[in-house]
Order: sequence, then C-alpha cells, then structure tokens
Amino acid sequence: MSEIIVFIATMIGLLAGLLNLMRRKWLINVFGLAIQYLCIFIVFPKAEGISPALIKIIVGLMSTLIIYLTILSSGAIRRDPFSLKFTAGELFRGLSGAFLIFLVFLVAPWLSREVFPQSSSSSLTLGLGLILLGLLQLGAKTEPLYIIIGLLTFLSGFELLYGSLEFSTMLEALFAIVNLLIAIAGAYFITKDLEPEKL
Amino acid sequence: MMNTILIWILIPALLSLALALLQRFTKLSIAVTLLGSGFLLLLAFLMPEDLIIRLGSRQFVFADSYEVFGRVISITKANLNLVGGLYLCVFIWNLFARSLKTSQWFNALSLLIAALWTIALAVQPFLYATVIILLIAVVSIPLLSPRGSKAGPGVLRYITLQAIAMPLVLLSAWMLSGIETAPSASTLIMRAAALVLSGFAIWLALFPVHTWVPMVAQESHPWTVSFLLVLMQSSLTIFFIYFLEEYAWLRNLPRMWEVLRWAGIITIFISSLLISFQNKLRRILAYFYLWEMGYALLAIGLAQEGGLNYLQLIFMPRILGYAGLSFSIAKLEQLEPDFDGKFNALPGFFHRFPVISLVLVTSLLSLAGLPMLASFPAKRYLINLLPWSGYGMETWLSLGFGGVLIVIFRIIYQLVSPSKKEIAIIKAVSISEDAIIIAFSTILILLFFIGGFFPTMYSEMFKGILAPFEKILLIN
Repeated sequence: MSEIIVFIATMIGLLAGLLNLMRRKWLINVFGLAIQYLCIFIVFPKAEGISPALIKIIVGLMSTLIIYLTILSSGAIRRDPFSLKFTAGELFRGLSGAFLIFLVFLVAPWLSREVFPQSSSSSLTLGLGLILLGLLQLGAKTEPLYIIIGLLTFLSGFELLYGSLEFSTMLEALFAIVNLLIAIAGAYFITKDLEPEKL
Repeated sequence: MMNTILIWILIPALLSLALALLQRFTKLSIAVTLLGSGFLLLLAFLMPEDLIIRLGSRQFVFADSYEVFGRVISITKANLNLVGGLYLCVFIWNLFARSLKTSQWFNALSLLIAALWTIALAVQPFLYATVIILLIAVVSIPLLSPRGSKAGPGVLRYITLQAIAMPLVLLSAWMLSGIETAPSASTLIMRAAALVLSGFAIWLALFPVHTWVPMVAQESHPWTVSFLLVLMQSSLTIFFIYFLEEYAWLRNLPRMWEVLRWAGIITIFISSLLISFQNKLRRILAYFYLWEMGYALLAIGLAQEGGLNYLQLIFMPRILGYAGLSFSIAKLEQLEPDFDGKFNALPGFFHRFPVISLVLVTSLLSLAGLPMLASFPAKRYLINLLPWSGYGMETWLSLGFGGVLIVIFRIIYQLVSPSKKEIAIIKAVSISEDAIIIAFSTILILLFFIGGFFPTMYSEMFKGILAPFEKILLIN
C-alpha cells in the first residue's frame, strides 16, 4: 500500500514540476511548488526518522508561502484568466520536460544499479526528475520569479537525492537556510522590480 | 576561554545583524564596520602561534575549534592569515562604500560575507563549504542588485551557476567518502574527478562558464563587484587546494598538474583575447578577474615546482589592483554623471581627473604584471617556473599578455586624447578631485610601487597561507 502511495507521489511530484516548467500563471506555479514539496515529503527516505522529511516540507511550504504572500501583497502579478490553451512556448517547454521525464525513467534503473545503489527508485526518479526540470526552467526562463521557482525545484530535487544517500544534521540546516534565503531573494526581486528605477 | 570561532565568525555575524538595523545611520554604520573589521584583521595578523595573547601578567587563551551539529569548525593560526586578508578587504572596501553610493546594506553584508567565507574555509568536513558558497551567493544579491534598479540577468545567472556547482562537488565527495587513495584510473575515481573539476570550473568561472562575471560587472556597482570577486577568488583558490591536499586520488590523477597548468594558460589567453575587444570600463574589471584566475590556476598547476608561493605573493597586489581599478571606475562614474563607461567617452578625462586617471592606469598596469609594479614579482616568479614545453606555454602566455597590453594602451590613448566637447582646460582642471581622492590615490600608487620593489613586504603578511598544505608541498 505504502509503495503505491510513494509511486503516486513520485508521479504527481514530476507532473507538478512539469506544470511549473510549462505554465506562466503565478497561482498555478506557486500551487505546483507546494505540491512538489508535499510529494518530496512522502518520497523522502525515513531511515533517520520522520524529522528530516518534516523539515523539508516545512521549509518548502514556508518558501512557497513567502513567494505567494509577496506576490499577493505587492499586487505585482494580476490574477490571469484561466485558459486551457497552450502557447507555442508552453508547448515546447512541456514537450521538452516530458522528454526529460521519459529519459529519467529510462536511465534511473542503470543509475540505481551503478551509481546510487543506496537510493530507492522513487527517490532517485523524483530527485533526478526535479533536478532536470529545474535546470530546464533555469535555462528557459529569464524572469526572476520563474528563475527562483526553477532554483527551488532544482535544489529540492538534489536534496531528495542527497537525502537518500547520506544524512547530516548540519547539511540539513544549511539546506534549510539556503532554501529560505532563495525564497526571500525571490520576494526581494518581485518587490524591487515594482519600484521606480533610480536615475 | 575565548574561541577563534567566536572572534572571527560569531562576532562579525552579530555585528552584521546589528548593522542591518542601523543601516540608516550612515556614519555610525561605517564607524562600527571599520572598527570591527580593523580589530579583526589586526588580531588575525598579530595572533601568536600558540594562540595565547599575553598582556602583562594576564593571559588570553584562544581555543581553535567549536562543535556545531556534531561537526567541527576550526580556525587555527595557519588559517588566520587568510582570514586576516578577508577582513582587510572588508576594511578597505568599507572605507569608501557609502561615499561611492553602493547599496545601503554594504556595511552589514560585507561583514557577513567575510564571516561566511571564514566558515567555508573552517568547517570540517570541508565539503559542507559547498552549501555555504551558495549561501554567500544568495546573500550577495542585495549588494549586486540594490533597490532602485531592475534585476539584471547577470545576477540571476550568477546564482544559478553557483547552485549548479554545489551538487557536483557535494556528490563527488559522497562518491569517494572514506576513500583517500585508490587506483587512479578506476571508474569511480574518474567519475568523481569529472564532477569535482566541473564544479570548480563553474565556481572559478572558467571558460565557457565565465559569462556571469562580465554580465554582473556591467550591471552592478564596480566597488561592490570587486569586493565580492576579490573575496571569492582568494577563498576559492585556497578551497581548491584544500581538495587537492585532502584527496590523494584527485592529485594523483594522471597528468592532473599538467591539465591545471594548461587550464590556467588557456584562461589567461582567452580572458586577454576577450578583454582586447572590450569597449566598456566595467567589463575590464571582470576580464581581469578571469586573467588573475588563470594565473592562480597556473600557480596551482605548478605546485610541484613551488608555484603555490605565488598565492602568498599575489594576495596583496591583487587586492590593491582590484581596489584601484574599481575605485577609479566608480569615481569617474560618480563625478561625471554623463559618463556611460565606454572608452570613447574617456577623451579629456586625464585633464579633468588626472589623479583618478593615474590610479586607473597604474592599477591596470599592475594587474597586467608590468615591471616595478606590485603584481610583477609574483607573475615573473610564476613564469620562471614554467617547465619546458617547446615554447607552447610561453607562446600562449605572450599572446595573452599582448591582449591585455592592447586594451591598456587603448584606455591610455583615450584618456589623454583631447575632449570632443569644447571645455576650456582651465575650467575643467580637477576641481572635482577632493583631498580624500588624492590621498587615497597617492597611497594606492605608492603601495603599487612598494609591492614592485619590495615584494617580500607583502608576502610576509600572508606567508602562513600555505602552512596547511603539507602533502602538496611535500611533493616537491
């Protein structure tokens, strides 16, 4: 039963990452990010107890909340009408992301055997998938908000992968600080870009 | 009992927190930063070998390590020279940070960044420093992209690349955790080496992942950029040597040292090739960073021949070079609001800002390594160590030197050319160069010449930098 839940969480996590890569609707992106962290919580190895996974979800949701509240309070990005139509860019990013996910499923068994034997297949798949989707997002977008979401996606994927290999309290603390600071940097960029430029 | 961690990490971090609250009180903020960094740098250089300070009959004993989350952070006397160097940079850059109109967070964040670099160099196992380096990049954002300006792509690329480098180095270390020596051709070693070298290539901004440096230099305040770059360059090169020191598998890789030498030569050549085509002053700072990085890599590659001595020789000249270059660029931009930073806007500047122009030219010539100036002894020393390569390395180095000279002579030509605008010389004579500018510039130029004629004065200050690297030095 728990394996099925973990598998479903892996798939949903990857889909949330893909959605973040594809769409440029801030509400969808923030929601996708929160879902991603929830899935990481489910998939995260529990060998060291539940606290490392709890730290991940708390820090992740706090980061998401920082971005959400900043956007909401600044009024920087108006609520866009929901549309199911995809632009050419969205379609391109979606297809590239889907290809990457396909690649991850293809390569994961070999990686699990040769490089990361300690990692469970779900940690490896979700971790690697988020790393690649994050990287693609970092390369495909230039707006600070999406770059920050890309960074958080990339880091969350790496943290999941590294968490399945080794546990260190200090490293966990450092990751938590980095994640929160990146979210704060995102909030800083959003509010800063609204201010009139000094001449 | 006092602790070196408390002094050089916790106190500056707390000071930085207080300064963040006091940022609106400019004078107080500057005074606290200067006093704080001045005290820390003096204490670092004056600390005795046994870490005991004796004042009359009283003794102050300093412990050199502290445990956090089961991991040890340790600052020994051997580390203190570099730590002192970091706080020396904080002191010098804070002297003019506010008057040059950098970010209002500069005082607070410069101290915090120096403290973070100190942790990065002091944490055990030192792999955790990889995350701290990313932390430093994120903390630098308000400095590089202050309020009132749009977030440029350079800053975002900088953060992105730092984030990408971190997992590469961390994973490589995990792969070979516990393995200090192994057959150098094993797949595992090759994989880990590829990861760690790629990570460092990104951190050190080697070609072709160097693009963020000129972008950031163009977008951000030159004084801020030079501060971050000088700290980064000094700390990262030492951090790279830590890796080579700790991991025999890395330093015993076949032709490792030769690869590093060539990486240095190629970086020098490419940076000088790119610099020779530039026409904006701010970008010159970025390419000189890459040029210096090339020499640093060459020095590491020549470790077996004693090249690491270059690092202690170059430390001060590099600080002076970056300070002089960025100070003159920032001052010219401040005094001449219409100046867009392009070379073709420089004509007439030598007549109007003679002292700043002199500092600009002297800094460029010193960084290039011209005789009688501060960087010359270090660069000459390094070039003398080059092994015979059928003139291969020498040719590329000479070509690299040529590129840098071209850009310097282009700048000098533009500076001394008459202004295109009709401005009477009498009216334009340096009314804007105040006593502080003249005093600082004179001191800088004097220091460049002192470094050129008496290089041991500066190398003595940083002679302890190499002390922790016994294994590499034993290769000689």
